Amino acid sequence: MKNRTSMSPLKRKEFLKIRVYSFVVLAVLLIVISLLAPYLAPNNPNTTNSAIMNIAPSAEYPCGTDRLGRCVCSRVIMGAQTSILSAIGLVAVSFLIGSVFGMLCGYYGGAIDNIIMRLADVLLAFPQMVLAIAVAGILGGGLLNALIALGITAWTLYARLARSHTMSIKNEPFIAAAKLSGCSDFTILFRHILPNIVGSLLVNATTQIGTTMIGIAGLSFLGLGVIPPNAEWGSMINEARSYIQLAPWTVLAPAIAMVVTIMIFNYLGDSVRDLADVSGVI
Amino acid sequence: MQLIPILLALSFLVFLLMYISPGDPAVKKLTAQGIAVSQEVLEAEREKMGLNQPFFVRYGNWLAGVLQGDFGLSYADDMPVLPKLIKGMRYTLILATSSLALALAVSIPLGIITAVRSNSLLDHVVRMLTFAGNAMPNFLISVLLMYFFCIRVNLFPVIAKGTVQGLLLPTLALSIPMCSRFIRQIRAEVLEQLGKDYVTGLRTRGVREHYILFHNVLHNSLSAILTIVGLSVGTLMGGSVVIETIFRWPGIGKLVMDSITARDYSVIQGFVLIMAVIYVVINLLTDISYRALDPRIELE
Repeated sequence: MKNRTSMSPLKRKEFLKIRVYSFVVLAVLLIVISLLAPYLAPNNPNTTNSAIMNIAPSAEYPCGTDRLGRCVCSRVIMGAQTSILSAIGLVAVSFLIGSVFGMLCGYYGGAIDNIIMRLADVLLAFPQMVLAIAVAGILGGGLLNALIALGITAWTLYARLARSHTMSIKNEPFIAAAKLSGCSDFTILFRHILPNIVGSLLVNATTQIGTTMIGIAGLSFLGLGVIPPNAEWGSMINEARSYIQLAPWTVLAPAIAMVVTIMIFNYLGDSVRDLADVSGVI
Repeated sequence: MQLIPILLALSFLVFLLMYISPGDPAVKKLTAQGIAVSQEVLEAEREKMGLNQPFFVRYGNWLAGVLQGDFGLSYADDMPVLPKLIKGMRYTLILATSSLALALAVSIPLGIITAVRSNSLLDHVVRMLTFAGNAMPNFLISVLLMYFFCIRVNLFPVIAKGTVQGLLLPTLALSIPMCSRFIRQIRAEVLEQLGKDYVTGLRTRGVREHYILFHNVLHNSLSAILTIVGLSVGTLMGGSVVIETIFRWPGIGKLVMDSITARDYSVIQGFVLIMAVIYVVINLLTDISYRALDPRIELE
């Protein structure tokens, strides 16, 4: 770290690239784990067994069992599926919706711009988690409702960004050239503007994955997200916290999995942003 | 900033939220109070709650009530919502203030030291800790704090109950994630200021390092610190819901979680509205105080 400041720009860029690649590898590994979760889990995550309640980690149950005799390790692996895939899914959907809205606003301006951007302003006037808790609470629990509750405000970030970028490049000569050569608005937006702004939007999206994961876990912890017996790290910690004295592993296993995963995605976001900074994407 | 239109739109969204929520409010109210729902009771309740009126009339009546401090009646016990919210608000304010104070008291010195001595051992240790802190959701921190301090060491009561002793752990739980963010941001800001020309200028003129740091650099970092605090208010509000629920701290966050469990929708509605209004006003105050700190900034 000490010689980072003395690194030549080229070397620093190489270093940042390697850093991004290593975190991409780790993140992909996590995604693969969550996709293959049903095959990787050593035991059935939902089978209860009153004969083996709260037993300590062993060869058969690598992370012990919980108060219903379920295999904690299998539940943590299945929980990875819920936590990681739903966080990435939510970021992807709000990224798509937000970017398209933002591009339309920036390109056309006028009434559509006014309506969408004022809506974004009002949504941003709510503290995000407060709105999410209230919406999820009113809609009732469930993963989909939790995702909707978080997504209501999440798209505004990309919309604002895409709008300002679109506005700044729509007067460039190459857009005028495209117009003169008879390109439709659709072609201009998606073939000429999008490739120029997608980099910085994607950088922002990667930095949001960790935060989104914390949001989903928080709602599930409060009982407003994933409903037990489905495994999810936040709800597992909530279920297990009253038994922490008897079986600390039931809290620690999902906790460690969650912190490590969020750290990897946070690092990924940070390193992508640093690299983009150096390469001048933003 | 156009405060009035934002507040109006905000109140409309909050009302809409209740309007589109699944189920009949009269049925919800009756079930919340444990009254058997029959057609006659339902009709009477609908009439009483004004549910038979058109949407905009209902919104108008509701808004007129809110402006006069009438947030409606709780579904659970028919008591006015506002006094409940205000009572919880007091406790939440205590918790939020103490957490913010603790977070600032820890992160301003640490942020400055790690910036001045960047790449020292302390800097690396703090950086690692802040990274861990940023990856730890507040509910996990609470559960771990509770485990160590209440069960292992037996220092604090498990249930906060609104006492001074009970305030300590929720404060810690709320301020640890805040510290992690603050330290990194303050460090970055101070580091940036230290690299500016005026600092070099002051140094070459022989001004003492301490004087530069506390007199010039800190002064110039103030507006950034203010931004950080302003931005954290939203997270603080969301976080207090989680932490109050875990530690049974009798604030507005616990009230709203209890109301969600009891399906007491009018309290949830009042909660969102109050939180959003406070949030908007605090953001406005932050904007205004920028100008006080830095006269170069023009207000929009």
